[in-house]
Amino acid sequence: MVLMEVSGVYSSSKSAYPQVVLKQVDGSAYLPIVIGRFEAAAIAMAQAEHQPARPISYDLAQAILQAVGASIERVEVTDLRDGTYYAQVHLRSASGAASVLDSRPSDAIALALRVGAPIYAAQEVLKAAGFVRPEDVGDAGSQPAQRPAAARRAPARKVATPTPAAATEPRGGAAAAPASSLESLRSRLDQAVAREEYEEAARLRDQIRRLDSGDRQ
Amino acid sequence: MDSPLVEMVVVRVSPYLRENRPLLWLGEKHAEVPRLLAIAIGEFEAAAIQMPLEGEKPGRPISYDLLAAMVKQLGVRVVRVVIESVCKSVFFAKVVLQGEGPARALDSRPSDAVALALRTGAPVFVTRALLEEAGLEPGSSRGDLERFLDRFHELEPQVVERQAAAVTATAVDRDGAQAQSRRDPADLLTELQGRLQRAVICEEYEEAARLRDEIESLEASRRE
Repeated sequence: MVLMEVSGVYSSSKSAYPQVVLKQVDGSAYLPIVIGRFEAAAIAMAQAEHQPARPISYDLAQAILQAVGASIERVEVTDLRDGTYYAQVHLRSASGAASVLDSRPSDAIALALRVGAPIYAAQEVLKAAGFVRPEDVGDAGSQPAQRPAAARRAPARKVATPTPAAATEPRGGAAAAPASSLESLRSRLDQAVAREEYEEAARLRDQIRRLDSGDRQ
Repeated sequence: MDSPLVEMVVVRVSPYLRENRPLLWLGEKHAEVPRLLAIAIGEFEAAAIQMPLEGEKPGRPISYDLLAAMVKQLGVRVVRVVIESVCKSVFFAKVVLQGEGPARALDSRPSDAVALALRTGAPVFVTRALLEEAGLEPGSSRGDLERFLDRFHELEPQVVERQAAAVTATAVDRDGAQAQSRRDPADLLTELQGRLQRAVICEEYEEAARLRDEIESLEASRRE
């Protein structure tokens, strides 16, 4: 078994499905695996250490493991047969009993990233489907491999970054929206929440509610 | 959440074209004229619920099959799942587990909870309060349905810039009442972070401020 890490999650306009690319930790082999869009998003989120607003299935799995004191020791991409990758999740229960679960690589990787478990790939799978980037040859271990451009691109963030009120005001300022307009208040509310300034958020929320109920009358 | 529980059956998943999101339909199990609860969910989650409803097995296990296998392997029982409340258009559910210790309730989206329930044979409940607030009487008109759906949906796996854990673990005893004892600090932290998240979604900022301070002092005491 060869220790791997997640190099990145890529989607291209040429193929219908995204890929997760694993990279050998002590070497220069890459292993691309085609996965589903949902799973790709789940891996990208974990890789960027972003938390979803509500837990998705992998977060629920992590919570269950934590609740019962069990852990994932490692995950392994074990086989490639007829174009399908196979993986295994190695579990350890609270009492120390070990077991192995059949899994798709995407689910195994999404879980491993959340619980900090190492990811391995079988030597034979790497031989069959792995590739080595030409510029990495002879350079293994000394420098981190050059990642494809897309790997450096952070996953799209859905964090609200409200436009400052000034940017939306018309030139000349004659008809400038008052600072207390709903839109401006909502944007300030978003910013207050992002900074965890909840006292300010509560004040803004009340102001918005007063304005809102005024609108309806 | 002290509202009594009402057992539901998973009726079906239907496409809903206007908002392009599938609907999960639950119906009251023990009622002459069952009330319905519809929750808009993601496409992946809808497919995951459809499969066991139709007795289909995927060629390879999907994440919920892995989750169900994991639970079984660990000797843990999914006692029930409960869709508890809706707040700012977001539904909140929990998965109640019974392992060796006291039963535990884990924060979940309704879709994940139901997908897991269908794979483990666990019953699905909603709180009576939620059914009264968000349930549909049988024979509701299309107009009622549209208005209803404008109000309620399950949050997509949206990414927010927040390091706080998205999961909440609450120890509960067999009656569902919270047991505050035997709580380790990491557990408590996770729970507080989950409650903070909920308070922010619900715009309960006074509560959020209180929880933020509690989390900060807990983190400070753990560093010492």
